[in-house]
Amino acid sequence: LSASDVVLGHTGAEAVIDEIRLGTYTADQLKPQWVTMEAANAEMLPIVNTVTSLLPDALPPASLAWLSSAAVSARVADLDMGLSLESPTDSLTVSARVENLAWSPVQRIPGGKIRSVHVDVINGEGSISMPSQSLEILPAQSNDRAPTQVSKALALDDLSWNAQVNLPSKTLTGTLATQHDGAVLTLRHTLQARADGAPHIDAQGEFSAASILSIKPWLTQSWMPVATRTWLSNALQAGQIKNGKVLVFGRMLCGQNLTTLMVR
Amino acid sequence: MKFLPTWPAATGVQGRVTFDQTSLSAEVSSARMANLPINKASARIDDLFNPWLNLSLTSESSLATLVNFSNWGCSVGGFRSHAVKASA
Repeated sequence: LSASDVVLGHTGAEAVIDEIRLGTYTADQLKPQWVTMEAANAEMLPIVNTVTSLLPDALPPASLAWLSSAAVSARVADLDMGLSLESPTDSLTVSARVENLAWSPVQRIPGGKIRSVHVDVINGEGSISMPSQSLEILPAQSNDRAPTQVSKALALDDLSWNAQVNLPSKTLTGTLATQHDGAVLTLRHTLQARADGAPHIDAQGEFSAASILSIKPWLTQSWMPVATRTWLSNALQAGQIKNGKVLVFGRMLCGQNLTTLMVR
Repeated sequence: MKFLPTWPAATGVQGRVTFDQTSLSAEVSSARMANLPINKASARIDDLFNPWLNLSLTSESSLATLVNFSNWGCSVGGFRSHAVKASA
C-alpha cells in the first residue's frame, strides 16, 4: 500500500505525512511488516505515537508519559523513516531534523526550548546531535514556592549535545557541553531504560565559574527549599569555582528524587 | 561569604563545598573573618530541608586578635545562642 498526504492524528496535533508505504508478506496477518514514511514538515508527537504503537518497546513507558504530560511539541523536517516489524528483528531507521523543540515543566523536571536537533538512526543504532545553540530553560515547579514568586526563564549559551543511540540495549550515551556567563559545564551521561520502565541515569561532569555570581540565578530556582536558597543567595557574595564535579546517578521518574545527586 | 547578615563576612575563602543529596558540607583550608586568619574550618548542613548550620573554625593569631574576635562574636545574637568552645 502506498499513500500520499496521510494525516496522523493526535490530541492537539496533526502530522501530514507526504508519503507512507506499508508492506506485508503474509496474507493472514493484518499487521504491516514494514512501514516507511517521508515528510518535509510535520508535527513530531503524532509520528512518535505512531512509531510507539507499532514498536511498543521503542521508548520506555515513563518517557511516553513525560512526552504527553510535558506537552512536547516540535516540527520534524526532512523525515525519512523506516520500520521493520518482523519479530524478533524489529528495527527503526530514521533520519530527521527536529526544529523548535519545546516542552513544559512537569513537577521537578524543568521545561525547555531548543532550536534544532538532528537524528540519524540505522537499524536501531545511530546518533542524536545538537549543534551549538542556546537552550531556554523554564523553571521546574516547586512545592514550596510562594504563589507571588515568579520564576524567570534561564538561558544556556553554546549548548551542544552528541549522543549515541542503541535501541536494542535501550541506551543513550553522550556528552553535553555548555558555557554561560563565564561558567563552563561538561557532562558525560548514560541513560538506560530498565525493566520497570523508568530511565536510569549515570552522569559525571566537571564545571567551573569565573564568578560565583553567575550561578546565583540557578541556585535561586533550584530544587532546594526556599529558606536554603535564600540563605545561599545572600551568603555567596564573591568568588570563583574551580575543579567542580557533578555526579547524577539513579532512577529518573517524574516527581521522584534521583537516587544520588552530588555536586562538589 | 556572609553566613548571616549580622556576622562579619568571611573573605579569601579557599576550600571545597559538597552538595550530596540534601546535605551540604564545606572544608575550608584558609580564610579571614573579622581580621582573624582562619587556618581550617568546616561547615555542615545535614538536611537542607531542615537547615541547621554547624560551623567550626581553627585559628592561630595573637591573643589580642582572638579577644577582639571573641568580643565581636559575643556581641552577635547568632553566636550567643550557641555553645562556643575555645582552646589556646
